[in-house]
Amino acid sequence: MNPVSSESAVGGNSGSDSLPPTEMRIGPFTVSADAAAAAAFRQATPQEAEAEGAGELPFTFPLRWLTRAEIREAVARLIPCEEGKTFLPLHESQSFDYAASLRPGADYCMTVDIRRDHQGAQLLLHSEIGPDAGVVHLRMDMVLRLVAIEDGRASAKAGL
Amino acid sequence: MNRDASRPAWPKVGDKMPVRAFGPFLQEDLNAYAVASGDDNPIHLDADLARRLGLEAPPVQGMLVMSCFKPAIAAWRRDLRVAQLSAKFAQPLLRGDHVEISGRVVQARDGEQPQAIMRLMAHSGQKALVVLAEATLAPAEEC
Repeated sequence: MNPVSSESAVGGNSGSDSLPPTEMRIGPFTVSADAAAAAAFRQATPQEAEAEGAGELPFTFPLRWLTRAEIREAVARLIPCEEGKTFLPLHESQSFDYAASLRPGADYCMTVDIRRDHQGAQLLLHSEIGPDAGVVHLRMDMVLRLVAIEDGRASAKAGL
Repeated sequence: MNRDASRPAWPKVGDKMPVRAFGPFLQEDLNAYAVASGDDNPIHLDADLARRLGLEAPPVQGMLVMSCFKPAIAAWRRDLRVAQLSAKFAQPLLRGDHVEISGRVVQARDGEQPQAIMRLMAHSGQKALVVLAEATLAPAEEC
């Protein structure tokens, strides 16, 4: 399994140069966590470390893999562009569905699908992680709410 | 095949886990989590930006709060494994506050493939609901 970081826009407005895409797939690419990264995460989440099973990655650690540059870039491309506004993605919901534990030092294959909702108010991310393509140990779903900052204040759309 | 009779009884609907507090979460905790997790959204790190969004202080990363559920369950029952966990972030927990984690079993199935579903809540120190979550639990030995 080679570390591929391909990304392709699928569906939606992806055929237009003037409009941002509404859906993107990133991967499959290879992810892993060495012992040092896992230890650093445990240090920052001592409460989670105390519940951890021997030889497992912390339960919420895989979220770190969603901060990879290619995923950040995809999220940025899917955020609507409106003059005079900056959109800040805020975490609205998150789920983890484990079929098997993930281990430090092991390589995993990860794919991420990102979709913008019709109102342009949310981004929906679905990730699958497993030892090989087609074998899934963890499914993660994330909803990011897009908060518009306008004239120095959050807009009504933000709900804050 | 039934579970080993020497093991604790499988959770029943209505069982509650003891309330457990985590925190307080200080700015240094938010900074450390940002580095370790990669969640460096400036709203958690920049008090001025938080104020522009109408918050009195930077909000604690939602995932830092979510990471409290599994240890709360483990402190209650070491024989259970969290297989699924989903959470909705209802409102921000602000820097300096702590959370109180509570939970109640809402579905339970014993027997060949035991499973239980817990409704979980994280409340702020001011008793505001911060995170509403649900966990699917399985026997720890199947991990």
